[in-house]
Amino acid sequence: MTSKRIPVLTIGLLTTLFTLHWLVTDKTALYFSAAGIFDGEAWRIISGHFMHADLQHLLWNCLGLAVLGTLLEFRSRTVLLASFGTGIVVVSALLLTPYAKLDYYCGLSGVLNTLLLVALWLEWKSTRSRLIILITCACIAKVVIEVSQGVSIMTHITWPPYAWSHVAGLIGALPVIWALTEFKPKARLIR
Amino acid sequence: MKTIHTLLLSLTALCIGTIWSPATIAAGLMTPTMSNLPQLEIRQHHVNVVIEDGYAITTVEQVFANPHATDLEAIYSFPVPEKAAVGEFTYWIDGLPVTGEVLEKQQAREIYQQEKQAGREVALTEQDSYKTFDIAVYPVRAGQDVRISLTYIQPVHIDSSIGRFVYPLEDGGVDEQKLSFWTYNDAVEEAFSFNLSFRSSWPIDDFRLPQHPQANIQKLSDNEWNVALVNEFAAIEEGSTNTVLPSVVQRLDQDIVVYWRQQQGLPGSVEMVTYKENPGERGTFMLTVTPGDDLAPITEGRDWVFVLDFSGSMEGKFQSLIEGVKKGLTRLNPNDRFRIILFNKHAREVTHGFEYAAPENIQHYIHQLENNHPNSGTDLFAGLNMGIQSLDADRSNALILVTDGVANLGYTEKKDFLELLEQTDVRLFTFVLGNSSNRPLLESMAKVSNGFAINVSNGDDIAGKIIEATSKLTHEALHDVDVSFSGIKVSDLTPERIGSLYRGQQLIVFGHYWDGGMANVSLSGKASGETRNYTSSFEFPETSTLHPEIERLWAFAKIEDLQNRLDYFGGDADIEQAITDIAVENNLVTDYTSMIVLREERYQELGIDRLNKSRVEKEQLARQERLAQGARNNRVDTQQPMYAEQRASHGNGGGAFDIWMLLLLLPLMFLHLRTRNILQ
Repeated sequence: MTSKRIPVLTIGLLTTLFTLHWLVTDKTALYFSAAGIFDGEAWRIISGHFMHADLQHLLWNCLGLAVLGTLLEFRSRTVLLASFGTGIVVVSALLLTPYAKLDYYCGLSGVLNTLLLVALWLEWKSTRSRLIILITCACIAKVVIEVSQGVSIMTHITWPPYAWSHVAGLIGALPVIWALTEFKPKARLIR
Repeated sequence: MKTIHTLLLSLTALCIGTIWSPATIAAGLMTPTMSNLPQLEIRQHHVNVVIEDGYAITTVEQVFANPHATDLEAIYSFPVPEKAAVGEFTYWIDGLPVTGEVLEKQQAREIYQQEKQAGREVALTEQDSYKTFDIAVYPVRAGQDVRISLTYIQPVHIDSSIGRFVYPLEDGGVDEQKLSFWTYNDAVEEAFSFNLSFRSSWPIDDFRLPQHPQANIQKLSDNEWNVALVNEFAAIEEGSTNTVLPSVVQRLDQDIVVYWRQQQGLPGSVEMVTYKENPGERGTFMLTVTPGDDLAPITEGRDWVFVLDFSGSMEGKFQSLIEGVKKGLTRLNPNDRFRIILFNKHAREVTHGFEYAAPENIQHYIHQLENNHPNSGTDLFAGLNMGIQSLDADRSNALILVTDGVANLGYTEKKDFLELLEQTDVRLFTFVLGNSSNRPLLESMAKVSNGFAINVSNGDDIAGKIIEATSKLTHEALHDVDVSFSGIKVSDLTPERIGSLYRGQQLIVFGHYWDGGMANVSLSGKASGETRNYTSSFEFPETSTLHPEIERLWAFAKIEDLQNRLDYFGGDADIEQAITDIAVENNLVTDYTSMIVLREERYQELGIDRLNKSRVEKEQLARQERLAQGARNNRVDTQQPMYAEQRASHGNGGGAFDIWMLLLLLPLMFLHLRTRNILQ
């Protein structure tokens, strides 16, 4: 495992996102829907995070995934997979609660927040740079503003913003960080 | 829940699909098909829309040109916009704008013919029921052009925090006689522009024109937005610096649908605008209630009865309809049941009683549907009656009616339909396709059954319509809604019967009041058998001159109530006279009144008072004053909120990474690359 390898997992995920966006005509069948999931449409738990409301929504999230996915995959493909999975689980858990009050949800940004926090933690572990603390504070501040104001900052997608998924995504990073701290990963992290 | 949402998903999809008719006609200049008359040209078509304070004012200015050697008459027809009150019609005579006056329909027609025969300039706007507004202009001199403009007002509803405005141009092609008699010229030869100015009490997140993604959308502030569609000719005329859109609209054959989305988390609220010129005189108010999101979800299963139109006008659309039904049925919960009823000149059931949504049943009945070919007339009553008779009283049920046309066979009177629905405990959910459907009939039927009607344009966003319908059917509704006032004298409330409020729906009530002062306002209704009351107190102003248009909006709503009564109880000379009186007093074009423009001196010679001219001047002044003020907050229940909950939103959401987040990632990448020694 070297830092110069091709991030195939990230490329695969990006390809999946674009393919789904262009090929699926009836996106409603794949959006995250708590009602649908409770009625047995379990695929929505995963597919909802891969669907996007419009091209702008898709492109922004793909840019985020390209950067964060590559950063994590350079360190460990297992960590990227674990972060991705945990992010899906935690964000989905939030969306399944009555608190979410959503009929439909789509987009990867909740999961990206999991990747973000894990990536920040890993960089902190290897650099101890104060810049990491500043970036982390800025990210958290952004999410707090979004949640308190009910707006998305500097982007306009055709669906209303749901900032609580970003909170859930950040929370989703905590078990991954805890696991990385408590247990020695089988795949040695590249430092 | 799944059942409801999948059904609605497919139904809305099929509804949108069914409007894709190659045979549709558009708004345009009409020429008799078999005549030797040459066609006039639409040289310019400019649409200016102002949406503020809960209503939209749309002004359509056009130039018709006559490139031929003889004088001609221009006849322009366009679909009636939803709940539109035409109150202003202007014809440029000798280069100067002359506004029209409202007269009884027959009288206006006679004067039009008389002036035409005398060779004098004259123009007439008539309403053809719920179908079209027809404008006649004479003369369009040989080698010259004429300029006219028409202004209409309509309330703007927000549903689940999403606003929708439609500039209707498509015609559903359901009036075969009209289609065969007239040839339509819908091409705009030179300048076309559509400009929408939006000012809101509430912050707006985004605008969207699903069929016109090229539109130039400008955010001036959270509460003020502009939308523009301008072709090259119009851009040159305006000296526009906006994005110029070559050939955006060359034909007037596609509805322009505009959506806007309010920010999330806004409260349930009551807004009010008033008009009261002097203390002690009668004032008019428009109350807009946006309920809090406090209606509980429905979890029980239902029986679904599809009543589908396969009359001749559905030709070319029926296959899409079948695809939609198939899509919905394949996703039903196996415990749900369905029936399918088709109607044209007869009604017949495709299924054999209720069938469970098993794959083999679905495949079987879809195959049967595919063997049907749309033809013949529309006996809507027969279809509806069969649907109602087929219900199982022991189970929750819903009847879904999809039609694009009018009832023209069997029972066709509105009264018959309303009586049929009143006899049965069933919720009717209607998808009203296109601009030519008998909207008044379908909406009244939905209202009397405590269901709802959803208007669907070909320009609508499919996903948005699905979500709108799903959101309503997955939640309980507030039934028997009533609004009452105490503390001040209020009268002439309209609508007379409110009916039900579904999740996300706004309630708009018009009325008159006399003395200003503090009023206690109460809204009550029943949800799941329990009575709910919502109250607030706020001030009605002694004078208020910023919104003279709401007098016309009140009048239009009152006329709708009277028309409903007329349809229900049959012909009544007193009611007809009441409609005419209200329309003339408030200068509105209706089925009983028309607006005529004459040379200025002819008004006096014919003894026609210039009442509308004064009203129009007053309204134009108020518009200028409102423009100068910018966006206003019309909320009146701030001190004592009527709702504790936030207003409903469409219940969907997404999140996106944005440029800020990516900028934050740059230093992270830098650190990473430096650590890897890649930058060294």
